[in-house]
Amino acid sequence: MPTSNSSTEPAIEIAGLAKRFANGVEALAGVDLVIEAGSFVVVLGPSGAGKSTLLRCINGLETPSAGRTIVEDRSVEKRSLRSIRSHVAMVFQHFNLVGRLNVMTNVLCGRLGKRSTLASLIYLMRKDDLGVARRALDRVGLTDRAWDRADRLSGGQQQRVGIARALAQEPSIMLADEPVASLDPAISEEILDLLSEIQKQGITMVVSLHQVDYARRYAERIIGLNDGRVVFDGTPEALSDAVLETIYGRRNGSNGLAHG
Amino acid sequence: MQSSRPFTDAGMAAMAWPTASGLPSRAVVLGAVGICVVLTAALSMLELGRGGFLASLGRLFEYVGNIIATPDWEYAPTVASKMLETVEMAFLGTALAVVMSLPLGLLAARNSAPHPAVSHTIRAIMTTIRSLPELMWALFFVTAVGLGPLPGVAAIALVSIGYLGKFLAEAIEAVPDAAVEGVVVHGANRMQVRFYALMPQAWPDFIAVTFYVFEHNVRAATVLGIVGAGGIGYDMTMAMRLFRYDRLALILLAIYLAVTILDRLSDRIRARVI
Repeated sequence: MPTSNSSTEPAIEIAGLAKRFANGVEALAGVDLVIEAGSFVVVLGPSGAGKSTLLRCINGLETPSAGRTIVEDRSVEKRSLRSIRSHVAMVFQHFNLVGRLNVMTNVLCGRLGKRSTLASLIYLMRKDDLGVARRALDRVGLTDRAWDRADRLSGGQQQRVGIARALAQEPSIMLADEPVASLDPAISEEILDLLSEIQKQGITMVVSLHQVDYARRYAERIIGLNDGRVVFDGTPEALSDAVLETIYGRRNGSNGLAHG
Repeated sequence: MQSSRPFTDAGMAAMAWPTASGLPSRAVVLGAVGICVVLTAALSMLELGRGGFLASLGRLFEYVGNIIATPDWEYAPTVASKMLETVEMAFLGTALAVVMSLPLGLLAARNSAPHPAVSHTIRAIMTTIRSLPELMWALFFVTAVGLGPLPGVAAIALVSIGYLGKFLAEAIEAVPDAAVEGVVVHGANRMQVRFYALMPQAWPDFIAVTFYVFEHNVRAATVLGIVGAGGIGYDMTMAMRLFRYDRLALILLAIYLAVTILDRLSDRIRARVI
């Protein structure tokens, strides 16, 4: 495994993070975490463990009930959201593209946070932004589909567009929320390889997954989440079967491993 | 309550409704009974009993016979120009309404409004507008600005704003949060979210509805002339009052043709857009 040449300065610092939804569900019950710049971190856990909520608190899609998140020395709060989001990209399980816009425009959405409103409201883009978007599409190998409507693409291609959109942002941190949960195994590996390459160019990568084998293969560090708590934090080598039992075991205890 | 008989009857296939009790659902039975009751009541209300119905049927045939008289073909150019004016009124009214309803729809949609109070207010205004039909608004505008196509266009535009604004707001509200999040998460501001996530996803529905509203407006415009608000309606009432069935036949034919052609046309365009 090639070592990332970045220093060990923290990219994301999370302290006492808790989130209780209006319907009473407690998604996060006090999470403390420091994620180093340039690392590939996998958040592993069963459905409902709080993986999505954790990621969504980092870019402010969810407002935590308690605790705080600091992203590159800036506290995540309402005032700082737009500027934090302009260098924290996100890749979604269901891609979250605007299906009726063409691929290029979807990728250009990654530039919106850095641009003023007026020109963008008549869909007028700066030439250098178009260049950035074109390079991002080239990177994910979809240059030839640039002018097709996004919803005409296959699932794997749509996820590539999602990644291109994230890249177009020129982010320092990329959050990927179950990026391969809706894709078949072959495509999943392509997508994770792509994310891994991107991380090696110095972008901090935080990926939530529920598949243990992918986590073992791609992660530099695995954070096991169960029932809103961090139950494991270590290297893939330290992820023993006993540890998996704690990650995937239910608190009320009847079943052990949920996934193979 | 009798327990259902076991299905042993020879000769006839045992049958039951696919419900827990094997009987038709109560809602269906109540609905059917309700419809029968209403129809019976309506029969006596409309005085359709006995001779009345047959006698009026006779008069109806006589009238229809009059209309199928030889059309007054020399009147055709006048009818054509009045029909064109009618369609123009509908077109202009719809176009004005589209332009006006874009901001109103964005302000009325709950996921796009700057504040819930704005959404509620705009919705209330649009409901008020819709509560009166075009003919009433036309009467109002004729009194305000005088006879001619202008009050007709104003009436059509106003009512269409009420409908298109509501439809646009609903189309925007139907846009899934996923598309919005995908844009929000990259630092887009509220205005950019409206233009890059909400509008692109909502506009095909809006265009489709706009065509329906236009078709409706053509039909609405044909009657606005009755109150002097322009269009072919004026000539239609005059022909009826003067018993000029040869002209009336032509007018009805023109309306039929215009509505049918526009209907087909808008179907084609709509199919392309969506």
